[in-house]
Amino acid sequence: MPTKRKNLYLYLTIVCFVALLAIFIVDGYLGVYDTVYITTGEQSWTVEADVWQRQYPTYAPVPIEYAPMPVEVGKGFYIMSANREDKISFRYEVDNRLFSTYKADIEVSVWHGQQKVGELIAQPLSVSAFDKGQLEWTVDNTELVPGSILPEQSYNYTVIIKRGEIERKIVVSINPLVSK
Amino acid sequence: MRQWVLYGFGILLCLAGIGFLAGEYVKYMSEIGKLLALLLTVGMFGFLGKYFQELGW
Repeated sequence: MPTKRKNLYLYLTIVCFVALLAIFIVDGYLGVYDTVYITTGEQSWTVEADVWQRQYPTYAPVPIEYAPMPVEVGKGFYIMSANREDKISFRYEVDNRLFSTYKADIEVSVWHGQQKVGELIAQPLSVSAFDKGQLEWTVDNTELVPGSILPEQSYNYTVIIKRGEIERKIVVSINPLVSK
Repeated sequence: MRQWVLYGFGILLCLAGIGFLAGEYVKYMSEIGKLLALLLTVGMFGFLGKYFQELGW
């Protein structure tokens, strides 16, 4: 009888351990994940969902002198470069890995400094359980860069995607033209 | 004696490594996931303790 009870405790320990591993895997899979696909000219980038969770900005491509500045957990952002004449296409995909329909208001706007330059999208998004929803928009740099900015000057703007209370930032750095 | 010290040191390093990785992972877990993981961890160590108690340790 004591041997049986002893084995029972061992089995229960193993069951708890396996359940713990299962929770780690299932909890990691379940949730709402958002990915941004960016295309400009011949290049395309994918901003994976984990970029937002990083405590440092993610560059595309990584600069030679890379000294990441720390940011808060969940406030990670993406920095990319573009040319003045580029049209940048964005595709925002929301992957709902929950057992219920996910609904949120999506607002996409362009900011320069602390000022809103334009609003691109403001609409509700509804994604059924274990399905994906997406929104697409295009930013034309020629329309966005003010005429007062000389071609030799660089210019930055930020695309802010608000999904309910959650905010995602993509900083677009427009390269200055180099005269030959 | 020396080998036991080395074994102990190795086991401690393994436990510290697993603890660190688990801690990093737990940061990104949902609240309900954290609660379940905590309960299962308590249960696991509790049953392990009972097992060793039955062994006569």
